[in-house]
Amino acid sequence: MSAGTARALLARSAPLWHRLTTHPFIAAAGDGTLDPAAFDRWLVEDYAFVIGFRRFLAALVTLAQDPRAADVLAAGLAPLQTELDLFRRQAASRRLDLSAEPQPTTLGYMSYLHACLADGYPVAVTVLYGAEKAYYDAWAAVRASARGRSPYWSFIDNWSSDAFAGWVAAVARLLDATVPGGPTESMCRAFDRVVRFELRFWDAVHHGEAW
Amino acid sequence: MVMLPFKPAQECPVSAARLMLAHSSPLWPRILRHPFVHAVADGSLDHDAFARWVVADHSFNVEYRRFIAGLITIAPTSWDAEVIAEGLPTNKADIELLRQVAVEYEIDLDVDPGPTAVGFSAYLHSLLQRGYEVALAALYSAEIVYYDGWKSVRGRTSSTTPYWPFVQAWSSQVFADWIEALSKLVDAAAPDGPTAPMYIAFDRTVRFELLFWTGIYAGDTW
Repeated sequence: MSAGTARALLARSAPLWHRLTTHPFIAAAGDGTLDPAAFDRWLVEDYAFVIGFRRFLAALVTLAQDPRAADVLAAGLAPLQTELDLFRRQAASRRLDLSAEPQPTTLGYMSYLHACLADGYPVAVTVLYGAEKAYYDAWAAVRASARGRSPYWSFIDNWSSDAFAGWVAAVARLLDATVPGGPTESMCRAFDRVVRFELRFWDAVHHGEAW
Repeated sequence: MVMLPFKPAQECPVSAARLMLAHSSPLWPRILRHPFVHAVADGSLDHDAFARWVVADHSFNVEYRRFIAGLITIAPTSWDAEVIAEGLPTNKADIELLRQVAVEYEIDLDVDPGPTAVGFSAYLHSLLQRGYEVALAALYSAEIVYYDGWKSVRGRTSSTTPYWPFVQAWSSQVFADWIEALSKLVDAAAPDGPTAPMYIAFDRTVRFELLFWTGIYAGDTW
């Protein structure tokens, strides 16, 4: 096995990583200054995204090349139910309509994950890793300062938890084992695009986006 | 002229194609008045926007070919597959034209096409997992938007502009005939009218097309 296909992908996207971990939306959610309207938008958009993401992850389980790989991937499905339940509870208390039409970036981003399934298993695992690693690293960056301070702590806690970190690390090992020779050009492009989609997603929920 | 395989016409009492068009009709004025289409027609499109167009449309068409091919693989009848497959030679001609123009105007096709082009083509791909009728509704939508947009300016686009080959191709009678054949497939696929996912896919495709044009016209960076 190589020193790390996952690590090589991260190294190539290092300039974008700084934007992820310092994104104004993440910073504002972390210190509690996030405009409630932006938080509401995030709830609705992220709910739509997770619904699409679950379909993507389920399809990826069907492509897994051995039972151990399927174990790793399928382990990501149960926490999604917890997230969806959290979204639904919050949406009900805030009187939000979770069936609202998603913004274009949300739809484009989750569609992109789905479309990568047609690019083959290694590329699909790559985009899974990119999406999850981006989420974990961004929220982990504000975890310490948000604890006991941010009204959005339950969300931040969920995506910066040790359990989530453990799953993201397992996906990284799966990626390394799937492509031991280092990332291909198409994997690098897909990883880079996922990180860029993630940044646009946060921009769009922070400021709103029209069709 | 495109020689579509013969199949006796079967009139559907309800036209799913017409119903989806009617449902999304509020978006049509935005298609017909889109500044990008009008800038192409009157020749005022600047070079940067032209380059963005060639790059984004090339990337889109390369991905769109995979979408059309995917749709052929899930077509329920050989008739459906034959009609849809008529889109592949046209798509190939579009790709070749874009490559030729890129060489002529020294446009690098390897640059990133931008998030809207990537998101739009990915959206179409994702619909292949939603079933034939839904993906077909999106194909029909993408094509009729293109046809209606370019047809609306065909009469006043100068044949001496570098954009004329595009306008000519996407407003031609051949193209119109294919779209008409697609509408028949849509009607046959949903004889009781469109399902809710078909309406959504049709409408979202129109909106993505509008964003795609806006992205080219105004710039669209990650």
